[in-house]
Amino acid sequence: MRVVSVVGFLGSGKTTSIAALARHLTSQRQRVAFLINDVGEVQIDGAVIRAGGHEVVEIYGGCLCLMRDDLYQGLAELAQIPDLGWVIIEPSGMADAERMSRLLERFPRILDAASAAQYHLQCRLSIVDAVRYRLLMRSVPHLIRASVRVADVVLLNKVEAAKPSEIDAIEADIRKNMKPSAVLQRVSARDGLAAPVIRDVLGMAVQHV
Amino acid sequence: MFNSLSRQMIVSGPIASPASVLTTLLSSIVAHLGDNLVGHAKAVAHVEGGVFHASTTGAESVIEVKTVGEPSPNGQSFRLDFMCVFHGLRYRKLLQAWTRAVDGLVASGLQLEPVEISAPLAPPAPHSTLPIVGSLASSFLVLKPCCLIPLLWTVSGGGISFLQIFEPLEPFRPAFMVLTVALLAAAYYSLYFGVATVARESVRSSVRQSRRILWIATVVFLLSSIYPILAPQPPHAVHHGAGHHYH
Repeated sequence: MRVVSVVGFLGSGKTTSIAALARHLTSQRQRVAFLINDVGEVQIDGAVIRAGGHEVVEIYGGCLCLMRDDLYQGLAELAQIPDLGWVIIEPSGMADAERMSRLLERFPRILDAASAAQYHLQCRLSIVDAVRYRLLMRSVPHLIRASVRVADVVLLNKVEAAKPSEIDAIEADIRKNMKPSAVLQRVSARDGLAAPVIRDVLGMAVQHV
Repeated sequence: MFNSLSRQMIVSGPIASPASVLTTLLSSIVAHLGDNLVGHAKAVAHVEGGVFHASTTGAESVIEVKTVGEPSPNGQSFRLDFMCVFHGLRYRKLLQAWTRAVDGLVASGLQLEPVEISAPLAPPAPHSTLPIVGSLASSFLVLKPCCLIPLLWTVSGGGISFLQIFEPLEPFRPAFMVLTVALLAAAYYSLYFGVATVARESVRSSVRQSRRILWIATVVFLLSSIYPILAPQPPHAVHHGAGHHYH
């Protein structure tokens, strides 16, 4: 199974983005399941994804990046689903992206050789809120920087609502923290994700979105 | 520090539309919490055919509402799930905002019945009991018997002679100090860094209590460590070699 991890601060547009990815995968007849995490005692995002007809493992009541055993158990459960092509993981919006990335990289170590060969961490996706970027960099800079540092793809979201003059400056700021190989795209996730964005995240050719 | 609040309610009464109930609820909450919020609030209405989902970060008072499936806009009642997480706001403030928002809905003629939330799958309770208790116990062992015994002797009028059994432990005092520091460090890590930045509501009070005990253990350790320097000389001590004997 190929795994996409989607990190981003609270309200940055993670659920909206993964819904767009799911729509695309489903249209390509790919089977996709979700591992959704929230810190609250009520699981909101899981209910939304499930209502969309997808298989969901919910882990709630704490931050996934600190719940290694639950994460691994959840992934192992999903791995039992026949013909499952993709797993999209959405940790809570305050997850430490670097810790999350380490956990996902180490997961194959607990698997047998055959299962480990099937596991592929396809993409670490980071969603950054363009509208609140300055505010978040004042309040939780460590979380924002960490999410950008580990990302293979960074989506600068809500650009439609941000001031145009600000977007270039934010993008330059983000690029300072990005890996050289990482890709940055400007998006408006609520309007869907464009074909090049989906190609960057899923690593597959896109005919129609 | 982040704080979260989660609630489940059954909403009934004259419901114009579930989406408007969610919008009213979230608008009221973010209005009460103030400007420049760092976090988000979201709510879902479970109705026949699908869900209404509303969310807001508080930025420019925008409430985004979307539907998943084909939710029926009419109905006598629905289940409402609510969750918010904010950075830098006290839990009490979140609770006040929630209470006011619910009062507003009730004033508009709706009935809201709370649903008991079942326990999450994996409680993130910190494993800090052992280090805290251990550090508290070893803090007492850090006390120099030479200083503790005369003090207690004076206070008790001579009835604590059994404490002399700790005298043989005095050569190990540096080891106890190192052990205490290690245990305190483990406890601090567990309670401040090793657990989720947001604890569940049911865990929060126990974390707070553990942190209080940890600070007490730290004070006990510090007092134990510096007491030999500050303590007055024992009034009846007679030195015989390395040990002390009291008459």
